[in-house]
Amino acid sequence: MGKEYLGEFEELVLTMVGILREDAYGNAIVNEIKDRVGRDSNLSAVHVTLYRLEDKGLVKSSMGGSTNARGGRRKRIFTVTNAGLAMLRAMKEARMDLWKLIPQLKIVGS
Amino acid sequence: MQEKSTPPRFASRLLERFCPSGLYEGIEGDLVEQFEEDCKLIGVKRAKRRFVLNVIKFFRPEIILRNKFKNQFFQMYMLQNYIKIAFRSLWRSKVHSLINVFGLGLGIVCCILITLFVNDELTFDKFHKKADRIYRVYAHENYGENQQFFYTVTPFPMGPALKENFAEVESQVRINKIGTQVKVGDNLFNETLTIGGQDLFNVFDFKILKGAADGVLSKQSHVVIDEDLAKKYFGDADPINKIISIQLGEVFEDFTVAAVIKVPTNSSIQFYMLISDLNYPKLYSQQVLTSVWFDINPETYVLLREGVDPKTVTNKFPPVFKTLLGEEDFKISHYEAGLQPLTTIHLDTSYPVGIAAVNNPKYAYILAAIALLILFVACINFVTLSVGRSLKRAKEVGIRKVVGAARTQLIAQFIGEAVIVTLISMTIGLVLAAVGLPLFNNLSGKQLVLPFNVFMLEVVVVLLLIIGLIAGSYPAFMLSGFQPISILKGSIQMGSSKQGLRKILVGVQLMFSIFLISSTLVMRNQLSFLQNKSLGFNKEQLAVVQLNVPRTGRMAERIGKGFEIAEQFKSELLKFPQIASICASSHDFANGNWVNIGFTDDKGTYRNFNMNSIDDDYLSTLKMELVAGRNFYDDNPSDKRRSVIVNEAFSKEYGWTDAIGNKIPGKNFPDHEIIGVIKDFNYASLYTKVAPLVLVEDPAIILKGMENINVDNSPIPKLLIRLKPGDTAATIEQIKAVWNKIRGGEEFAFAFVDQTLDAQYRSDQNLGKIVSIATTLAVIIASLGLHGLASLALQSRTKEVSIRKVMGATENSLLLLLTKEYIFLILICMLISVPATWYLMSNWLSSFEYKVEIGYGVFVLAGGISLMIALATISFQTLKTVWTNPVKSLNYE
Repeated sequence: MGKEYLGEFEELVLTMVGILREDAYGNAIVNEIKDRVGRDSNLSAVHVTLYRLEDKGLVKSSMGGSTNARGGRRKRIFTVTNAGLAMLRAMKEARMDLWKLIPQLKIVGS
Repeated sequence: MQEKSTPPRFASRLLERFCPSGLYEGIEGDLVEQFEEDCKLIGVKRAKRRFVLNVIKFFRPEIILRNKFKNQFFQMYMLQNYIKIAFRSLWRSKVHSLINVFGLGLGIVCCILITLFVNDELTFDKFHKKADRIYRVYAHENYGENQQFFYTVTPFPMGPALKENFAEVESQVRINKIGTQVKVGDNLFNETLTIGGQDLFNVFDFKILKGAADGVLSKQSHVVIDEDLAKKYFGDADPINKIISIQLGEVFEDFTVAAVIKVPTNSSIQFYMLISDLNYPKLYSQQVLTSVWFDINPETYVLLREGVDPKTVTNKFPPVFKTLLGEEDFKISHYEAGLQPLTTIHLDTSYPVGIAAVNNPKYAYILAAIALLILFVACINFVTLSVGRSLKRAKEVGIRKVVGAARTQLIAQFIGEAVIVTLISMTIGLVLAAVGLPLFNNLSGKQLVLPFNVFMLEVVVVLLLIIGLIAGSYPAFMLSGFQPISILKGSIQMGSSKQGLRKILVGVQLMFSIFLISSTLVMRNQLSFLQNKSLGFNKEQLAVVQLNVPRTGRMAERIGKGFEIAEQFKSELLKFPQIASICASSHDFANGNWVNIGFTDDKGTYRNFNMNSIDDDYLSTLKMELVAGRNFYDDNPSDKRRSVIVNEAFSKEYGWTDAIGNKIPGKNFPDHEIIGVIKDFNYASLYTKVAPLVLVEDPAIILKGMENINVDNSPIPKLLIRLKPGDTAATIEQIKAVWNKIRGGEEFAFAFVDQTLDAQYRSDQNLGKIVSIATTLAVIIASLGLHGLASLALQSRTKEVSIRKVMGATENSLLLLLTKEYIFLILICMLISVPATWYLMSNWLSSFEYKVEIGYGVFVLAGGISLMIALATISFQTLKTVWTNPVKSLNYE
């Protein structure tokens, strides 16, 4: 693991890019976050995060084909790079390791 | 049906503008998609609104900063060239650059100094860490008409009572001052002793230089002194644990120096010798300390617990004070106490002055306004001169444009040049500020230092940006707006087209100059009026010597004892031929208020007058005039017992035509008679009117019948000595010798009345001096600007002048032709600045009861001065043009 650090929102967006695969562009990610996590996010915030992830080399982007919708504008499709996958995996494992260290509390019903 | 509603065009265009082109398509696509969805969900109207909002949300640094890569690189590359050109063009017109740099430098000096001053005023008392939780207690008493009291000093029991009754009060500190004598070795000194509550150093943060402050005041025999006093008493020796004797009550008591402190000048609480309030019982009776609520003396400060709103505390005051004061007293007095935040004390003139000094914020405002004026004048110079020079730079602009410079680049270039000039001026300004600081401190009565910290850095950077933008932006926008073709064809005529604006700017400068000159003149008039106004007594060659009387017995007895000592001095001193006469009096001049007495007259109205105890030589020594009646006679024993002299204001207050034989109309005064009426004399400052005054030989007559007394200053008699003109220094030595003979060992406190009187108006005198200096600076800067402008304007008219000369115009007519527009300009400026000056100056004068009229003479003089300066500046240039041989200026074509 490098020194790179991912913020919570960055991690969320990165995960969504992974989930959506070929269909990962700004709006889709906003909707996906809304559907899966139930959280309202800002389009501009998502975009900014995507560009930041791109700077870090965790995702890469290319323009998709043009459609009639969206005023004829093409989509910028993001895909997770190997580095991005590795980062996600590393973070998940690190978290699992920590989780195991927590004494497993009994859940007392009431 | 409706095919498609499109998102607002302007928003898309805005996005296109600031969004990096690589990202634009993706972003806009997403936005449009969302818009289309929104249209279905929430309607077109709201969708459009949301679209705009979303576009604006993209306006964030992470997006925008991705933009300029290419552009920035280009500018970096050009930077070297810009800097080179900037210095070249500065160097090419040395005079103008010098005017610019020097003028701005002067403006910056003023700004820096005055920012320091204003900052000091605004941060008064804020150096205490708990400043926001510290409050001063004040109280109102209201007995109905004419009899209202509002004070920020409090009764002694106030502090302890608040602490005891309110859990919100963390600690309380009482602070008061007494004049006393201090014995160090064999020397006696008169000092002002401060007595402070034991928590003083826990509540306030004063800097401890030596020793430890913790718990210092919980020991009764500890004394804390400041640096200067330590030096005065012990020289360079270590003062800690040294013993000094302080007179408390009747006896001298030994105190151990436990700490040496330094009280910063921006503290309302000032002291140089401090002991604990554990010493109160030696000075005041048990009753006064615990249960008397209408004898006010110390200031009380409370420290509230964290997070406590002072309102919640004061809301709980009434019931508590009702029990403390007793129901009856509480009701009659309508007693109302409150809390004033510590940090507002210094500049809030709506509260009465307690022990802490209060400053009028007016002075800070006036100074700040002046600094801005000067800076503005300097900036105008910059603008007029750069615009004037723009013709020479126009070709450069044309070439740059042809080669491909964008307008923004040109703007950046010229603003950058302005910033470079400002930077040079800033350096000069900082150096000058450092040099001029002692002078400024002297004038402003502060001890400011030029700090090299973040604050100073902020000031410098802000000044740099403001000046650079103000001064640079107009030339920048104007120059960059030229059409390259017309420049390169040479068809642009600068001289005439931009004259109008430059004239307006120069006009503004002249206006400020006239304003400042006339203000200076008005202030001078007023100040010299104050100095020379007849006060109703002769203040020349009059000296005051403070007498000391031990702090024992009642006030009246101590005053009596003082007069006895005075008699001793009289008989000794009158032997010297240099001394014309001597008298003794409870009060001298310009040392604060005289004793004020309150009583209810026979009609039930509450009234005030001031009182002074004098001897029979008072009127003759001070050369005062009696309007009616007679003076006290020493040979007449009943005078000492029952005679009273009043002033005109007193007899006017009661509407008496003949006061002789009357009595002061209060029923409680013992048998007495008014034997004389004295012409009003200004015993207080000229800020106030002469108030009713009673002169007595024996204060007991008044003290027995009064209801209220207000003693701000010690009424222990002073000797007033009238010297004959001649060798004053030798006479002072003689007086001192007699002093040492009679009161050997005690400190000899000697002063001249006219000097103390002058000192009263020091803050106004200093303001006057600062305004004079500012005026000189502003006039210098403005005339520099005028000089530059005139030289530019004349340059473009050289040919015209030469042709006129060839055609036969005389030198005089040419001179008139060239200067008349400036004369016209000055007249207009005068017209505008007169009302402003008049308004502001009458505002300043309104603080004086006795003042000069603002005559038109002042404005004529100010206008004349600026006209002369302007003409002198212009005609130098004009004559140069007029005297040039026409052949020279015409032959090159």
